[in-house]
Amino acid sequence: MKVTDILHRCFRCGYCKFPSNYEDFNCPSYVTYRFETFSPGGRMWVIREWLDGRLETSNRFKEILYSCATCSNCVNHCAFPDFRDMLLDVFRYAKEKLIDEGDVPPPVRDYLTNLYKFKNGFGIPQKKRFEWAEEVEDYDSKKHNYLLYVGDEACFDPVANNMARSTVELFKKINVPFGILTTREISDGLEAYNLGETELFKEIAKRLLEIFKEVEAKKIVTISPHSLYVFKKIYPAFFDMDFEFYHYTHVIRENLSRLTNSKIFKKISYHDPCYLGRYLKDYTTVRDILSFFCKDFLELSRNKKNSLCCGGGGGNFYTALTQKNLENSAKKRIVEALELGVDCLIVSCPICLVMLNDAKKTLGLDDKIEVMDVSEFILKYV
Amino acid sequence: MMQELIQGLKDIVGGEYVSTHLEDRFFYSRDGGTMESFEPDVVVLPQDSNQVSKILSLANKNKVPVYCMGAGLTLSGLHRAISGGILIDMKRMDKIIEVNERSRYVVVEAGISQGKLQAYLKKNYPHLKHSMPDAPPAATIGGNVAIHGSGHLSFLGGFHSDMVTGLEVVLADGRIIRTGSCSVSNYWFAKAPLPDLSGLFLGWFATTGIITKVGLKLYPAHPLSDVRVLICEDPKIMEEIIFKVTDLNIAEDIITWMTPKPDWARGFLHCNVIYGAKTKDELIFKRDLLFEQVRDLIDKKVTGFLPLLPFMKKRFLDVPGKDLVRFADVRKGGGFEYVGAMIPTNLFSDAYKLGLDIAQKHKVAYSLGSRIIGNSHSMMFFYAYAFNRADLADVKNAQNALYETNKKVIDIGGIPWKAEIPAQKEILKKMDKNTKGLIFELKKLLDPNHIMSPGNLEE
Amino acid sequence: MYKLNYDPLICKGCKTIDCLVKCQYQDFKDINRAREEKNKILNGEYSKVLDDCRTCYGCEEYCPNNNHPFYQIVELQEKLNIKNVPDPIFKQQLRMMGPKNRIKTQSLKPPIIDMCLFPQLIDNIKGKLYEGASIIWGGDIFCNIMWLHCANMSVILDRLPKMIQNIYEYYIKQSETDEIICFHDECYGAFTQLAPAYGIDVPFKPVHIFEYISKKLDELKLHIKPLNQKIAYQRPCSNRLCSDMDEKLDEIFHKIGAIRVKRTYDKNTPLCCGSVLRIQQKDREADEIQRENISDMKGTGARIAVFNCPMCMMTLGEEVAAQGLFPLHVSDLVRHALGEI
Repeated sequence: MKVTDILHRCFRCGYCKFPSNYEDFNCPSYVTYRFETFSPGGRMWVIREWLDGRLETSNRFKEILYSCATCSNCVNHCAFPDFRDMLLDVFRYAKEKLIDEGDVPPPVRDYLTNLYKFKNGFGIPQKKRFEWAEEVEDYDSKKHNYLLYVGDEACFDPVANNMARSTVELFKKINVPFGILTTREISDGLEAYNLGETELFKEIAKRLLEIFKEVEAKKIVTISPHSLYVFKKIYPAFFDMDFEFYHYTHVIRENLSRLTNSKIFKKISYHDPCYLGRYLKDYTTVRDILSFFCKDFLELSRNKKNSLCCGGGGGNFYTALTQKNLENSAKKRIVEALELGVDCLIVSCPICLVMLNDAKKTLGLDDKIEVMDVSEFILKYV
Repeated sequence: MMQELIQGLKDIVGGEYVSTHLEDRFFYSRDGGTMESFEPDVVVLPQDSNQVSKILSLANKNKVPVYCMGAGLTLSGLHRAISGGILIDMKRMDKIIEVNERSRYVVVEAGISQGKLQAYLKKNYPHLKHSMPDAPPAATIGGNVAIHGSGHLSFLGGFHSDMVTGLEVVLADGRIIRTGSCSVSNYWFAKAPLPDLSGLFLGWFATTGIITKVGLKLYPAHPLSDVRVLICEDPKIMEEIIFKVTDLNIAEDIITWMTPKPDWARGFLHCNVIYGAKTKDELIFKRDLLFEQVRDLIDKKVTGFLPLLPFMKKRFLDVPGKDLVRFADVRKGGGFEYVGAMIPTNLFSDAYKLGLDIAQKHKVAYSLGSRIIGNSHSMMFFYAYAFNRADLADVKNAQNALYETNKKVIDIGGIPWKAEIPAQKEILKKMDKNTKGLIFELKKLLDPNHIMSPGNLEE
Repeated sequence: MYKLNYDPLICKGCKTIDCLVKCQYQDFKDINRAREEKNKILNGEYSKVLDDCRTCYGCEEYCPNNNHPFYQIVELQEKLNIKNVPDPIFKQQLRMMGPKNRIKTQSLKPPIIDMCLFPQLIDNIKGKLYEGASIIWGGDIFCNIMWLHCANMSVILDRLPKMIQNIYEYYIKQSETDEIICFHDECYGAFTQLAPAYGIDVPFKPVHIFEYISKKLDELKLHIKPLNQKIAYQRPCSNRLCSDMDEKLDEIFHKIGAIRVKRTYDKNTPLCCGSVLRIQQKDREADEIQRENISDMKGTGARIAVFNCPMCMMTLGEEVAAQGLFPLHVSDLVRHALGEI
């Protein structure tokens, strides 16, 4: 079935915008814009008109497409099992067309230019990528069990970088033999793929795989669930490869016995990231870790496959299209956590960490709730 | 003038919630049914009643048409901006204002989704529930009561408009008024004993005002529930079943369904009886009462209860049920529309035959059924026809079937519900002259500049 | 036209009338009364047995002469138009379970597991026990034995031979094996007991799921961790068409260290799961029997209720769990012992 074969099959019933219990809208771009066109169903209808030539490319159309956070809530909740798995493919197909036309929103263009020039989306010279990690060894396949792939966000964004530093520190603490690609790491390319720049994605992925092979990596651990997903699910669709991939929380869980089981008396909750949760269906690893330390683990009502995306996926971390208006999903998430009465909201994705911390600051709630990743949490409280 | 108006709208709700973009105008110009599109000039998303009031004042001053949309799920295109102008999407107005537990009512903003209210009650008042329509959970409370919707508690409580305890409405000139007890008291408990002004806004296709708040009855939510499905082959026997089952006052919801697909269902008439209970014993007691009620028919072997395993029952008990919207994909084409005919229950057989004849004549993919309303005084008999949106001839065919159904429904004594514009005209044609005259006079009184949903409720 | 292979003289000369005297659902303590009713059946006349039969298949098992008393009853019920299921339900089920003509030729790798009409349980076919298994199921290979519960033999005789032929033509002919592993007792009973009783040819080798599991456990011996668990077993009606297979279950239990507790309603006196009674519109009786059955299970001290018949499991599973017992299919019980669950 071609993606264009399903466009007219959307009934605009709206299930795609909700979690399983319908408690509130669960599509980050719809939460921000509130026009139906920014819901998955709206996108389907507008794309059909555009492909059939009844709508021209406009800034609004580009905004509609690129504000999709690829959170996959729609894929999980669309009422039509025959084609719901293809929803994000439809959106990507339209974005690919826009890329072919060379007509994308300025922040998307800037991101892709940075990626092309600097091999990272931040537009920062590569030599600065690991300035923070002078103490970390270069990966040596004979010495290290794991190659730690840190990724763009955790290397370059100051808030997300705390997550990388904590993970490194924690891995050392629990004696995990690992190294990094000190001079050679480049972007994983996922956002290029999500933004419809497939050629650039393939180029980056090919280069990164060559680097993995050159250093004889076997087990690769990622900080970002986005990296884990693209390595496990998208790369194999384009390239032959033979690596094992893990998320850093998998390594922590495996080595829990090396940590003191000191009970933490904090009320905490966990924000499932889309790419570890809905995409890779891993809802247990982090919960296992947190329940090892914490008695007071509370679930947000929108959890697991119903998690409310922070709004940073699909390139929106860089383009900020989902942050355009006063209301956005990251702010809603913080309010939800506060209403739940937790002291600490745990994340396991650098993008979520940044987005939710930003939301917390914007709402002026810095002293009310902590947002931190699993490794930061363990280092601080265990 | 339009530019000034748009700036005025932006000043009222904020620039980000006003759109004149072609993409938005395109999407809001239609729904999932067969009706042709009409684009608004501008789409606006207010956040509260005051903003709606200001929008209407502005529109009234400029004599610009105003249309109103909840989730746009009527399938009969009721929100389409037939004369252009402003389309108000109500869904930002989605607050739950009050739950009165003891008096069992809730006050909500009209744009709240059915799903959000359901989830809120389940979480905070698990012993209370409101009547959910069979529409997807995105459907709004305000939109649904305005069209006289019905739902899974309609056997108990009648139409959803019957469950309204009070309304807040913005009139065409921007005045905000209240109907029912809330116009006198702080409580939204009933429409009585005052003159029932709610009736000026329920069933009027937003031609008299825009509902911004709704007081709605809540009902006990029992921890246990069960569904029993009776089956027969003869519509006359189904009439008998309905009469017997409704004579026994245990059900919350009674619906019949007749569909040619899947193949095993073709030619059979089914009647789902759904009821709740506090204990398992009560549930069994009700089941046995139900059995006794139709025992003579079972003994004659002309009906029986389908043997349903627990996992099968879940599909019938899920509210809302996703299966219903899946009918839109029967033709692999994303569309269906239905005539929901309000008819007296005694016309079940005629209504059924009518549907079969039309489906056969137009060779259209169909699904028929009915929901019994308020102890069987009437029912909403639905004739749903699926079509492939990508095939214009197929869409036209479904549309023709719908038109014909509307006419025939009126012929047999029923009235099309949430009628498309052509069906509205048919209803008015058949309506008592003095009544029709009064309707037009009231419309004019409440909307002298004719800005409210023009094109609707007009000859 | 297929005809039941039985000898009325054997029944006429029967001294025990076990088929009726041992019936769990009808009271025939008085053997003379039993003989009287039996004679009516043999003469093709109405007997109250025809109305009161709960279609448990028990008499097929009780008859010491293998003279098919149950099939005699079903044939007579049909002949005298004694309906135990409302017409529309029977007709709809008939269409629902009917052949769909969607079967396609396939070359299958052994073991071939015939899931009958229970796709819901396909997920059970996994792990070491079913490594490399091919699964077949659907209306085109459905054994149709269920119509025994609906007073109808002619549908079975019409459909079963075609189903058998379908299995052979579309699967067996092209495959590396002539064995079909029957996941449901009913299919096995159809192929090995009912088909021969009516002279229907079965051109492949039916293997009961218990035979298969038991043999497989010999191969997987090293993986077995004895369960040491008390098990209450729900013996299904369909197993009464192949009683010898019940012993195979004991073999399996022995191999995995499970203890089949002694209960009132097992072995020769199992109780109906209730699903048949519900289709026959006897809900109150079904409730009572289920209550009795589950209370008997609980009374044994077992923590696990094991099922082989998917229908029994789907009917009783939820209630069994609500009563504190853990419902498991035999396959899953074995997978527990293999450390896979």
